[in-house]
Amino acid sequence: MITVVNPRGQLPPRRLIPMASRLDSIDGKTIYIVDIRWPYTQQFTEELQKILSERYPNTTFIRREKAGPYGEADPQLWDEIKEKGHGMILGTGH
Amino acid sequence: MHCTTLEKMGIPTAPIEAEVFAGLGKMYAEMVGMPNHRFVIVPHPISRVPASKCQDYIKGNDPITGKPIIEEMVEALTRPLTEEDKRSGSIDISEPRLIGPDTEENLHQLFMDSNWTDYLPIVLPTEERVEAMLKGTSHEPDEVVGELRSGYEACTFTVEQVAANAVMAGAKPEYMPVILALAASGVPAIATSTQSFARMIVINGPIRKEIGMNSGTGALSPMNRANAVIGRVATLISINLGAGGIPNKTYWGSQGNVTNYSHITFAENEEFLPKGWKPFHVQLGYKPDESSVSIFHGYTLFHWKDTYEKAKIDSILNMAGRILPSGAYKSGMSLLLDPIVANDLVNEGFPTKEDVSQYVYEKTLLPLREFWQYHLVNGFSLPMGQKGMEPYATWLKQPDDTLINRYRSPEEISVLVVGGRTNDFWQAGDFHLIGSFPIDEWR
Repeated sequence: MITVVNPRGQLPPRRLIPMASRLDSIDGKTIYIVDIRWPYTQQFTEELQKILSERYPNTTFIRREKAGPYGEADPQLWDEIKEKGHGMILGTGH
Repeated sequence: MHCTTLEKMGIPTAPIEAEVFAGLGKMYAEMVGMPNHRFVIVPHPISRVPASKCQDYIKGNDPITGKPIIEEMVEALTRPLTEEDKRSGSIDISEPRLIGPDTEENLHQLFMDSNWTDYLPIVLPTEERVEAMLKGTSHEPDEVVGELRSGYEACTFTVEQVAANAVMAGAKPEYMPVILALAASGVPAIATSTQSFARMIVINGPIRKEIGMNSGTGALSPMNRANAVIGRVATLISINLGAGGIPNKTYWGSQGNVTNYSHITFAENEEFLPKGWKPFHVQLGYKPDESSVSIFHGYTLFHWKDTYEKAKIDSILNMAGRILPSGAYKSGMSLLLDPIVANDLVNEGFPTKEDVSQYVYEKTLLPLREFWQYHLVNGFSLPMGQKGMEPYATWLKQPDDTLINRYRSPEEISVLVVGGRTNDFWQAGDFHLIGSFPIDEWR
């Protein structure tokens, strides 16, 4: 029987963050569809906006392309959604 | 991560994820502390598919749950939160210092089953072996070396944990200063990217000879213990000290890269540099009697037999014209020249390495119309330009036939001399210098 040194590094403690409260319904609400701008995928969110707008005519769907490369935050857009929106659908890569 | 930001701001979100990445979002969500993000999975791929196909995807079902995608999106925004969704606080995930006692056979199996190896045979890091390895450095075992993020979270780790990985790879204690410098660099050898990249690891200075590295014949082949093991450790520490390297969880390289076994790890042949050509680390500002490890990002090497020109510099230009423009995200070129080739270049009128780099920089131009077509340019440089970042913002305003430099600067073209003078062989790779890190402070 032998004992070995653990070769693994130490990850930080896992934090838990509460999710945002959900909407009663999307009726009468403004939902942002945010495209993260992965190359050659923009047609997906364009079609999504069309289909959702047809299916839920009482909801406003606003499509925005996030500024910068896909992993980079877009604080201006986040503030706009916070001010004018009620929810966000985010997509997508590859 | 964007959805987590918005959730924190009080905005409910529905993140869409392509089928092949179904595990990625879940893992990332756990890491950022919101494990119950409501992912909607769509078929894959999305890239370059026509609008009609997108419509089919959107009107169809989530390939994992079988539920209609549109309904899932709405439900993600409206289904009331559970008590679990509202939890705050933290969960302790501390690692124990020791594992066992157990049989050698069981421990080997544990290391394999836990993805702690590269699946080649390892040496188990017993306390005695690790203690012996620690004799290769003056640093205390419990000293924190730094942080490494190979997966989605950075781990902290100690000198002892680095030594455990060195034991596993088959290192000698005298390799420890190089291995600690690699670990302290904070540069993981493998990472989460879908792009299957590798590293090139180049050692300069006196330590090359002290630990018996090969810079001559076969330097890039598995024919020298130090070259092979140091490269292997780079991958093991990425897996174990950087919490990465698990396919479809913390590693997403579509094809992977065979170079990851030991990367392209070698010592520069400083002894056979032509007169006037400085060792690579000296070019970067180190003194000749200092040792350093330089780490490069890239994918692969190409060789001179793909070219036909008589003059070496013309062959190099031919090759340099095919590599991803360094105006794109993280790219550049490295030349790996046998000493014969280095001397040929001197005879062709290049008295220093810097002259070679300058010439290649000036002679490799490409029109903007070609530049904007590169996939990485489209994904990274184009949106940067649209945000106003230079030089891309200016390039976006210029005609398509405007010529730009393929490389951002001569410094993007690294010249390294390696080989045993048995052939006028040279290779070029898309390896771009990330940084060069001091070794001597880890002795």
